[in-house]
Amino acid sequence: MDLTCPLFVVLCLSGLASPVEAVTACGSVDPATPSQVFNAQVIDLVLQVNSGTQVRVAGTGPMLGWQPTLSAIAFDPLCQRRGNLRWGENTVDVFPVDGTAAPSRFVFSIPASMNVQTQFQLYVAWIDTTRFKLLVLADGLLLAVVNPS
Amino acid sequence: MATNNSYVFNGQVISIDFSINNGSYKTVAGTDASANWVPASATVAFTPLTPTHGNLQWGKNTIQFMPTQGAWTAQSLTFEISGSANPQSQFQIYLFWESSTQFSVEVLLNGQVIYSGNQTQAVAVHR
Repeated sequence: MDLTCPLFVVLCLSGLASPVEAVTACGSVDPATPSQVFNAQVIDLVLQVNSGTQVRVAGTGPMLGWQPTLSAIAFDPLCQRRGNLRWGENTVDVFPVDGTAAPSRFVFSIPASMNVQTQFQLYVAWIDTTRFKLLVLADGLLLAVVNPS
Repeated sequence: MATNNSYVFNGQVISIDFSINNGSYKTVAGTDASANWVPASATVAFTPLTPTHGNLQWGKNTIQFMPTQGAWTAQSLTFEISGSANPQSQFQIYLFWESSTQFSVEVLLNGQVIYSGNQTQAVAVHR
C-alpha cells in the first residue's frame, strides 16, 4: 500500500481506513520479496516454510558439477502469508522425497530490523542418515546455522 | 590420478581469492540477486595419491582466502579429509560471509557435510 497515495490519505482523513488496517489488509498486490532455497546434496527434498505449501527441491550431483539446485520461496514480513518467511520466528520442515523419514524441523529468527526487500538464501546440507542442517543467509550474509530441533 | 571435480562455491557478493595447501591463488566470483544468488564456483582437484600444492589431499588441508579487493590479510582455515575417503571422492567447499572479516566454511564430501566452521572455530562433524 502506497502511503503517499492521495486516495489513501483521503481515506485515512475520512476515517474510512486506518494505516494499520491498510498495511495488513494485503489485497491483490503481493509485497513479498523473492528468496531461494538451495539443495547441496543428492537427494530430492521437500521443504515446507511456516506451514505453507510444500516446495520440492531437486538434488544435485557430479553431473551438475555439484551446483546446488534452487527453488523459489519468498520473504513476506508485511503480509506474513503461510509458506513465506517473515520477521521473528520461522519454522522450516525438510524431508526426503523418497522414504518415510520424519521431517527435520528448523526454527530460526529473522530480526525485525531486516529490510522488507531482503532476499534470503536457505542452504540445505546433509549431515548423516536423515539429518540435515540449514544455513540461512540474508543477501549473501550468513545469518544463522541451524541444526534440527 | 587427479579428479578435477571438486569445487569451491562462493555464496555471497564479494569475489574471493583462495589457495589450497599453499598452491596458486584462484578466484571465485561473487553472486547476487541478478543471479538469483546462485553461488559461483571454481574447480579444485583431489589428488590423495600424489599430494600436490594447490590440490586437496588426505589428512590436513588448509584453505587461505581473502576478498579480491581491499587490503585484507588472507584468512586461513584447516580441515581434515579422512584417509578412508575414496580417491575419486568429490568435495564441495562453501564459503559464506559471516561478518566484516569473518567467513564461514562448510566442507562437503559428495554432498555430505564433513567439516563446518570459521577461522576461529573449525569443527569436525563427520570423519
